[in-house]
Amino acid sequence: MITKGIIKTGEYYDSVSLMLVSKEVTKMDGVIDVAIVMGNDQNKSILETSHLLLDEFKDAIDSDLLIAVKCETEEKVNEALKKIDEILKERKNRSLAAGEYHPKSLDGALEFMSNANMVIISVAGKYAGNEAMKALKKGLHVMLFSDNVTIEKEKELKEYAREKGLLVMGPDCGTAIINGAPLGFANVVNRGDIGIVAASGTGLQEVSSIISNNGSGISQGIGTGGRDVKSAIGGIMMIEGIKALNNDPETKVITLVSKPPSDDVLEKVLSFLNENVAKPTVGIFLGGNTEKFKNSKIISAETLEEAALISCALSQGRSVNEFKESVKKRDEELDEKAKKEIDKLSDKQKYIRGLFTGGTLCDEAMLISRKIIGEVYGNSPINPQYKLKDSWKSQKNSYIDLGEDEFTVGRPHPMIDYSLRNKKIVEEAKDPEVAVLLLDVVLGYGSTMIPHEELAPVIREAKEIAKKDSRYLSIIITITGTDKDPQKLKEVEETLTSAGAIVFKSNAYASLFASKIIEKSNKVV
Amino acid sequence: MRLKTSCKIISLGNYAFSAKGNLKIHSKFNNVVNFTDICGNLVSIVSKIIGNGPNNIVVDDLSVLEPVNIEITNDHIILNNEVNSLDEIEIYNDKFSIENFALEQFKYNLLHIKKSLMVNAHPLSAAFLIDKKREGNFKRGFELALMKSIRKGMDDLIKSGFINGRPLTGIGMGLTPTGDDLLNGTLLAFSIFAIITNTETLKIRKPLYESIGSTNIISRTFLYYSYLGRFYEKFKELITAMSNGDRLNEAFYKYLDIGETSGADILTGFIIAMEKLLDLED
Repeated sequence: MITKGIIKTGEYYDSVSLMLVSKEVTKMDGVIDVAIVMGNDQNKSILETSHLLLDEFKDAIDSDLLIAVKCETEEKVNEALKKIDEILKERKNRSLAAGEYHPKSLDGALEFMSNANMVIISVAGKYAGNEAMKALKKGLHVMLFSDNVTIEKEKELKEYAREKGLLVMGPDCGTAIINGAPLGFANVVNRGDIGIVAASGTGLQEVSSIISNNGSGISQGIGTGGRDVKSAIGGIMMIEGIKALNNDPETKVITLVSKPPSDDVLEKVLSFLNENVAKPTVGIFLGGNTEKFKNSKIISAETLEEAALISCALSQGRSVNEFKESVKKRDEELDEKAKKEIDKLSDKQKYIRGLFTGGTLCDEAMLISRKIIGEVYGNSPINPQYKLKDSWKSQKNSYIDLGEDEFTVGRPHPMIDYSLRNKKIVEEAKDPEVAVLLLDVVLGYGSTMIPHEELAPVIREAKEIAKKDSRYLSIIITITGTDKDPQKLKEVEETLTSAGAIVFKSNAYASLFASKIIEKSNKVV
Repeated sequence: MRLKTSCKIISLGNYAFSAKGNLKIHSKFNNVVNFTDICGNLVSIVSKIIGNGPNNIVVDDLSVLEPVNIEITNDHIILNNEVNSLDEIEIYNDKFSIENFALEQFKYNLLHIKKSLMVNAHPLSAAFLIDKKREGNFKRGFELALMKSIRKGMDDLIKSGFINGRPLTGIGMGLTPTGDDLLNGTLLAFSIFAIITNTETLKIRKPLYESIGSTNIISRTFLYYSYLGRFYEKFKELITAMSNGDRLNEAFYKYLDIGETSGADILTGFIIAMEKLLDLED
């Protein structure tokens, strides 16, 4: 008996075709056995069991089609293989099949797409810097997703890019929206005339989503990486980003999003804006000193939501103050809503516990809360004196950023995998002193596709734990995202609401509401 | 002969938007042309006979169309250089919802489709898992080894409490091998069970989906949507028919007609998992 075979690489056939081939060949005189399968390990194991695994099949990969024929004579085997080839060719003519191409290097990718002018780099930090430099030398803009790139290397890359008129977004830049394409962790937003430069990923997500949800859109969303606004880098890409948007005819309004920059960087940015930029510019520097903006042309916002709404007003040609009226009215309603929650709480329930997946959202929530309920504890608190001794154990009013390294080593980011936060939610629900759980849900590409299904049962469980202990637990959720996101904002909102959460579409609003519950229940410690 | 290069887009799945930019042809069959974007998202242009799905773009007549390029933006689909505004295209709702789902009727009809499957499924489909007599259809060495592997994979899946799908992954022929189709049916059962009984099944679906090993992009796409609880039209029609009894046989045969053995394989996985979930085993 003779067994022979062939491997077909990069060819796809449906099971109808393969069954047909198998059936036709099996009917041939002298054919003992036939197998036509894809080259995955499971199928190779079956071939081995049936004595059809040829040596050349052992290195085959999942996308290879393996064909093995066992016959009485070599002549018959060759005849059968020829027949198989003929039938497959005939099927292929009817069913054109093309292979997938996954370039393994920057050069390979450029051969595949020679007109590309930007590259996204996501490799281990120690290699990322050199890959980025290679790309810059080829005249490509760079989005550097990787972290652990040294600050010296970052400066070298950014200085070189500035000289060549290119952008380096990052390192550790997880979010950008370029020409309408969401990159990394980003939302599907309307296209429009507001350009954003952001040194904060979730900040960019929140601002761009609120802009989109309020009827305006984004021309470009340029990330810089968080370290860009520190003295060591000097805001090189913040300024280059502003330059790019200033020169972009599709951008009417420029919006800057960041945690507080170093003073010297802020001065540099403000001076560049004053001297070179005529377009209206909105700035949110979370926790920064707004006094510094008084003599600048920047319109300063205190929250991400405010920055988004001011940008919308400018884009839509409305008065910047117009939104303030609606916010004022909304705040009055908020007091009423908070009172309803307070009435359900027991005397012992005093504290808020914030469990965040987005770092900037956590920062913003802490900034809002401390104004209302005083200093709050955290793993990365605003006031360093309030750093939790053990990040796994909350105390009093605590805000945890689950995206910090201490929680993500060896685990997916909490926007992708909710399991760790879900565990924390249940733990916090058991604490009789907890009144409010404040959570964020960030939609968009990169994040989990089923946040509502991951979270809804845990919300119910947490509520049930409190109920069994004769308590009510207020669970407040802020969602960052749009209805165009693959997870669909409305659907997520409805599911979480029906699970018993109070849902907001702005982190600032949710944080304000949560803090008011604690404040107004007069249980501030 | 140059074929007609434009056609009417009838409807579009929610997840067709996931693929962005200029897409590249992956594979082409009589009623389906698959495209992928650079990130590996799959979008399928399909004829009406295939019907709606999360990632399907249904066109009026694929037999006279030669789809060569497609570009998807937030607002438009550009098919063979013809711009189609999304505002004018019906978006397919891939979620399943039904008022007053008749669970008892569904249980009864589950048995009905099981019996129909035992009679009508392809001889070399996985229906031998619900009808031992069908093992006799597997005669030659390779077929016997394949059958044993499928049985072992399904036994392992059940023993694991439906959370380990790796032993079944990729077993069998074609773009959606039998093993993947069985896993697909299992995921469908857990996803639909969650809806019709208002029970959380993510604790099973998630580890099951994550346990599934490497397989091709087409099979992976089907498994992914089943895991998410995003359903193709034919499946929704079948479940609806199982609840209200209307045109059940028609819905069953339409489903059975998927691929050579795929329809039967998916239904086999579905029936096995659903019987366990509803505690209906013999």
